[in-house]
Amino acid sequence: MLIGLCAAEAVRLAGVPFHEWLGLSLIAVFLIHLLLAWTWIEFHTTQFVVRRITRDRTNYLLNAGLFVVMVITIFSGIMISESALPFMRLHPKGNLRWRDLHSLGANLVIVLAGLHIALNWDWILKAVRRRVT
Amino acid sequence: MKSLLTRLVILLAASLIVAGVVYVPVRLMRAPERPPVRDEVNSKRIDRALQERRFRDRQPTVFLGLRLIVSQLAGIAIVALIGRKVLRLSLRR
Repeated sequence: MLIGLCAAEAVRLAGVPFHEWLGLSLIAVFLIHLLLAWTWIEFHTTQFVVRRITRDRTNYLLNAGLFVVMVITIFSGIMISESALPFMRLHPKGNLRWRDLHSLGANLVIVLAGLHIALNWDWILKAVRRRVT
Repeated sequence: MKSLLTRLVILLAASLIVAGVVYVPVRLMRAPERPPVRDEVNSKRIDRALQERRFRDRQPTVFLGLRLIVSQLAGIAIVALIGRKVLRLSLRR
């Protein structure tokens, strides 16, 4: 997922059409990621007000922020699509504002993804160790 | 335990709400008719867009592709490292 995100962020890797199709396919990947983490989402949404643990709250807000920024980036990307959507006979009327929003979102995704990894680093290490051993 | 479909609908609804919240202001901000004057701000934006397009349209190479992916990964890694240090200090239980 991380490599996919990096490849999508690097527009010049294989041109705009590849960037757009990869971005669209990442929607499915993110949906699966969210569905797999559904228990966590459900638990922490209900516990957000009740439990006042700063770490949990920060993690929850960070993840919510990442979700919002990701949706904005994907949506603005769809609005300025030059290849993938016209291929599906859809012609969105994007403008420079959508382009600016897309760039801002893409930069924010890098920051938030980094923080997302930072907060879940121990879990990631455990999962990798479990797979390797 | 919610069914998969319900979860998907919830995710879709949340995404649509976020997209709607962004879509409405961007649509409202858009001027109905732009004057055909190349003022300083517009000129800068057009130049930037052209520059961006020229930059994007250059032929990519394998080396460039790898460099691009590594640079993105490095960006995320730097944020993760700094974030981990900062969050560890500030979020000690």
